[in-house]
This record gives sequence, C-alpha cells and structure tokens, in this order.
Amino acid sequence: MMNKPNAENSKKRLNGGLPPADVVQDGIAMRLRELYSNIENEGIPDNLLHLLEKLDEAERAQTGQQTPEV
Amino acid sequence: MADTESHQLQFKRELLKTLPSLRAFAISLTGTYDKADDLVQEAVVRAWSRQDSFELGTNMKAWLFTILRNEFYSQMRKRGREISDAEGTYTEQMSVHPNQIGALDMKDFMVALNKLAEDQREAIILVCASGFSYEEAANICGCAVGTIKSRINRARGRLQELLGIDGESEYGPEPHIAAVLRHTVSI
Repeated sequence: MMNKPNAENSKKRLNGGLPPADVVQDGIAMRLRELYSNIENEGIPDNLLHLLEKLDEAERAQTGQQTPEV
Repeated sequence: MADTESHQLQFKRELLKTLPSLRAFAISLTGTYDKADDLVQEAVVRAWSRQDSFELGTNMKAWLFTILRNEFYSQMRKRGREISDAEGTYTEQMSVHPNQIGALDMKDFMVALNKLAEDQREAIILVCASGFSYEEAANICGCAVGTIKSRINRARGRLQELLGIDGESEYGPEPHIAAVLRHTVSI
C-alpha cells in the first residue's frame, strides 16, 4: 500500500509530457499524425493571412499608430 | 509603449506559428475545409480581441485550441448538428500524398475518423496528432484526465473496428499497391 502512491506519482510524472508509447506507435496514431501533418504542411490559406492583416490594421488605427503606407 | 508593442509582436508571432496546427485541428473536428476555415477565422478574431488576457510564456497553443473548440461547440449548439458530416467532403478536398501511406488508405481513415463521436474524435486528435499531453487535452476539453484516456481508448477501438485492423498491425504495403492499381486503372 505504501508503494502504490509513489509508483503512481512517478508514472504520472513520466506521462506528463507525452502520451505513452502504445498510443504513439500503433498504426492508428501513425496515420492520424500523417493526416494531421499533411494538413499542417498545406500552409496558411490566404484568406486567413488577409484577416490577420486586417486585424493588425484595425488595431493600429485604434491605437492611433498609423504606419505609413509602404 | 514599448512593452505593449513587444507583447503584441510576440502574440502575433506565436499565433502565426500555431495556425497550421490549429487549422488541422479544425479540419479534423468539422470534417470539411470550408467550415474549418470559418471556424479558424472566428477563433482568431476572438483570440485577437482577448490578447490582453493571454500571458506570454504560457501555452499559446492550448489557449488557442480551447478558444477554437469552444467556438466549434457553440456553433454546433446554434446550428443544430449539421456541422458534423460523416462522409465529409474533405476526403475529396484533401491534398493527396500517394507516396506516403497511400491516398486510398488515408481516405478510408478519414471517413472512419468522421464516424467517431465528437468527444472521442477530439480526444484522440489532441493527444495522438496535435501532441498535447493527457493533462493538457483534459484542460482543453474541460474534463478529467481519466475521461480523456477512456475516450481515446474508445476511439481507438472504434477505428480498429471500422478499418478492420487490430491494435498491433501496422498497415503493410497493400494500401500502396491499392493506390497504384487505382491510379493505373483510372488512366
């Protein structure tokens, strides 16, 4: 009984950062990561980049820090 | 003010860095590119308006994922359940990388993924694909760590069942061959 909490604690600490190996290594996890990284590698769509520019401009206008047109 | 300026710059830099992963999460959640892009836009606007409440140095990725996830579920509640689309159009829209796992195989996988219950799908994606720990995923989903673990287990069981694989086997060369055959036939 004395050992159990300690064992659990150290296990918890080990698992704190990453999921355990069985989750990482099977075919399902592998495929999930591949699918996900394929999408990540598509980059950021233009409309999203435009949105960020607009947000940026709006913010500058609001704070009165108009930057000169380049 | 210089401090404000650098906070804003850092915020933007981290936001940009996280966007591809945030978008991948949105696509996995909604099952379509169109809906995912709308969702990401709304999440970005919301995050932007709350940037003062974000503490630099804390986990920007988890913060953004939480905002996007909340946005997703509040939209689902508003619009009924039409967002989730089991045969999702994103299988048609996805970019294909046939020399990796195999395009055919990946499409089957995505269809199967879309058949999972939302809570199971998000749990397995957050931990197995987005790279969050169980604890972080539990925080993002507002549930206990044990709940995340059991959702992942159920998600894996269901995916194995849908794909007709057992937990141990990796996919062999068959999907590649199938993809090549299909490609050849369609020429």
